[in-house]
Amino acid sequence: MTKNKSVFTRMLYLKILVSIIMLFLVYVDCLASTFVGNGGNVGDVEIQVSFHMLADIVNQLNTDEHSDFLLETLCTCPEDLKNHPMCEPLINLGKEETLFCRSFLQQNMKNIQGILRRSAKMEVHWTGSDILVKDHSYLRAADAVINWQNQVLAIDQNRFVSMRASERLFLISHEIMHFLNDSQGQKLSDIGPIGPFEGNQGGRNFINALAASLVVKSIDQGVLDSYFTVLNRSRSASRYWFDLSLGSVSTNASQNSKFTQAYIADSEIGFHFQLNPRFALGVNYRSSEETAKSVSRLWIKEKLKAYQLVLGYRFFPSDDVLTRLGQSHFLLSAGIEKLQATQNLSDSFSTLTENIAVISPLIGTRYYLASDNGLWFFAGAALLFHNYKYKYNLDQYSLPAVEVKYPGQQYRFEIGVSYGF
Amino acid sequence: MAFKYLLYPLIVLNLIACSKTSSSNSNEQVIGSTLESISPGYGEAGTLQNDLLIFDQTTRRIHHFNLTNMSLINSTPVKNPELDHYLFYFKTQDIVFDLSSGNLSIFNSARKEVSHSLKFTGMPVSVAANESLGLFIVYDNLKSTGIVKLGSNGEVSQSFVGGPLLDTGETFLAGDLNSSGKLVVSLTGGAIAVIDTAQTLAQQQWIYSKFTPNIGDITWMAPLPDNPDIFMVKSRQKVELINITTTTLIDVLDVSTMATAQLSKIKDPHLLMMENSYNPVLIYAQSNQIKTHTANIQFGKIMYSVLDIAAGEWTFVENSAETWNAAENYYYNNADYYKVSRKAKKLRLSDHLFLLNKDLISGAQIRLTNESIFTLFSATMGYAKLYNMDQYTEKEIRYFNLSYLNQ
Repeated sequence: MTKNKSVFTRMLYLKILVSIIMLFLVYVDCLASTFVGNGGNVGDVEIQVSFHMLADIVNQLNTDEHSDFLLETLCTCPEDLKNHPMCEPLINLGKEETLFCRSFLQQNMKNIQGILRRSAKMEVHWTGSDILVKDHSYLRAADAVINWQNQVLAIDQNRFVSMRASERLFLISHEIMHFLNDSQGQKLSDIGPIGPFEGNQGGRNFINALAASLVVKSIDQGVLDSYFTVLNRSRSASRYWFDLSLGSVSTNASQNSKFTQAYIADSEIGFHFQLNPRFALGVNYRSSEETAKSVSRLWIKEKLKAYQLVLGYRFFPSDDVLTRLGQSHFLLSAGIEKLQATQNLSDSFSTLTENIAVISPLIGTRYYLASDNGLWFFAGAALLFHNYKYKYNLDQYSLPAVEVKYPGQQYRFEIGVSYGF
Repeated sequence: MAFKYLLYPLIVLNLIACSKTSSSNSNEQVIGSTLESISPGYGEAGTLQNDLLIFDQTTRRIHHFNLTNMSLINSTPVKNPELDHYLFYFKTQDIVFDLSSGNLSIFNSARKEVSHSLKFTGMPVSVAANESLGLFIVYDNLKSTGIVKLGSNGEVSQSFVGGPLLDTGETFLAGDLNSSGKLVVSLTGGAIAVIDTAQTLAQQQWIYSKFTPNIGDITWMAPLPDNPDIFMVKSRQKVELINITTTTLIDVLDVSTMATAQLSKIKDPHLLMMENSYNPVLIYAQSNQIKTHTANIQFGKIMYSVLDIAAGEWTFVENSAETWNAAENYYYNNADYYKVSRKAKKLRLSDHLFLLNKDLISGAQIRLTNESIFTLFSATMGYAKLYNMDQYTEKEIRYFNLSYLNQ
């Protein structure tokens, strides 16, 4: 291949890759998404856990053998949780308010169960901007707002994710309460009095008490703790990923020359950025240094440095984001690698050195297995389409040049760890 | 750091342990000259060879170097590369003779093997050759003698292998080939046989004439370069000049009080005898007379010796770590016999001026003439140097093994 043609080929690869990246950048919706909380977005796990927690406590209140006791203690705080922030809406309730709250929950427990069952069809809209709701004549900021007619729940994503689990459960519970009807058949509202809850904020205080009661029960009955592992699990929705791996490259070259190395061990460090839940853009740096003895007293040392630019596509074999398997995923990638390598041949008296640099395409796949707290383990394989040779020019001694060829594809296998955040 | 100092003695021990070449035969009681893995530095009539063929220990191939420009001409693979190989070269026809245990391979100028029917079962010990007559004679450790005659195109036109026993009941002791194509051998019992190689090849049996000079068993014989009819011979107590045509004794020297240190046929045939531990005596022939030259210089063991009578120079390889031992009855003319503690020296005989006093690389293969030192380093990728003694210049070539190692 002439020099001009190889330059043309490299430029062609680069143009194709840039085009693909540009195409999908158009579709990058950095912060807002209409995915139905399926795990592809930040907060999807949190919201699903919140719904599950709520469903668990409601089911427990409906079916548990101790439910009578549990129901009789609704809208109060146990002694050991008196200082918990979630008890704040309950601590100052009067006797009438407590009874009203308790009675309402007892009467509507099955309704809440039904609402939660239907919530699977609810759309979650994540927003990156403040949610403003009209409160009489003025607008106020809210963490979430629900449109029960259209079954749409809008949530401030950053605020929701930064909350504690109990606060998230409180928020969801509060919004779910808006699906319930008061004694006049009207949906519960934050505005205006209801029952013994007086004043313009009576409705809000009442709904807060309802929500707080369920959250306190969840804490007390260990429902919150039971989701600790799920909440701590590493999330595929992380945008930024740092990868470290150790690999072995099978060069498929040993039959061509005794100066090639059949296997080269290397290490790789990389970073990839999720453009959206499916597509990622990554850069990697791979390096290796191997010294081998070819024949008696001849040492071959190879040093490799490679820089990769890759586009990745994620594939999730399981869609249950609350499980480890559901977070784990395949990352299929394609890109280009610039390889710079130096080979030294040396014996006790002489050393020969040659350098090469090639740019070649690559394809690969990794399986990321979720661990906890942002940590991931992965294993992968890649096919590198390198075709190069070291050419030792021996004109000085009127000898023919010696070529050390690495033709064809190379296969790289790796294991590694990753941190996503 | 400490590891390095531990390593050095191990390297030296390894070199010493591996220093002896496989060509460790005495050059006494042989026909011709003992074999080496390097082609001789001198051709017929003592002419310097600018071609050098060497069996490379790393690639196990025969490398052919041109010493004029220090280049590799070609490289030839051998049969049974795991064995030791010994080489001889005919410059005019560019023919390479490759000897190993039980095998003689003859390569033509295209380095294709020439077929021949010569078979011998022993280990080759020595060769005698006459390039202009196309004669090549091999002598092995079972005392078999093989004769090959090459045609004008380098093909083997005739060949013969015979045992050491003549029909008179005597066996070969030593011998050599002169420029007339006569194979002159000493026999047990003190006789000398002059073998007609042409008739022997034609009739496939030893055809010879015999005479007895009455000097006892002759264990070393060398033809004089300027007179093919005269041989310098050594018996137990004497060195003699004998005319094989007239069967007369021309000159004699009593060496009964001396011990033999070295026997050499390189350039001009000569002997090195020791009057005492530190007084070597060079014995050679000039103008049909036996001459002696006393060195009066203390030497270590002389491993290799080249005498140029016309130039008045004696060039040799001395092992400074080894001392000559009168009890050691083992004469070899091999610069690589010990590959450590070697020095190349050249002495001007007229006034004993040392014209050369050069350390030789340990572990390297050496070919010494009175004009140059060729050194083949034990470098896996290939590294050789040619040092010109007169011009004090050095040329080198590297990496000539690389393409063969890569295969």
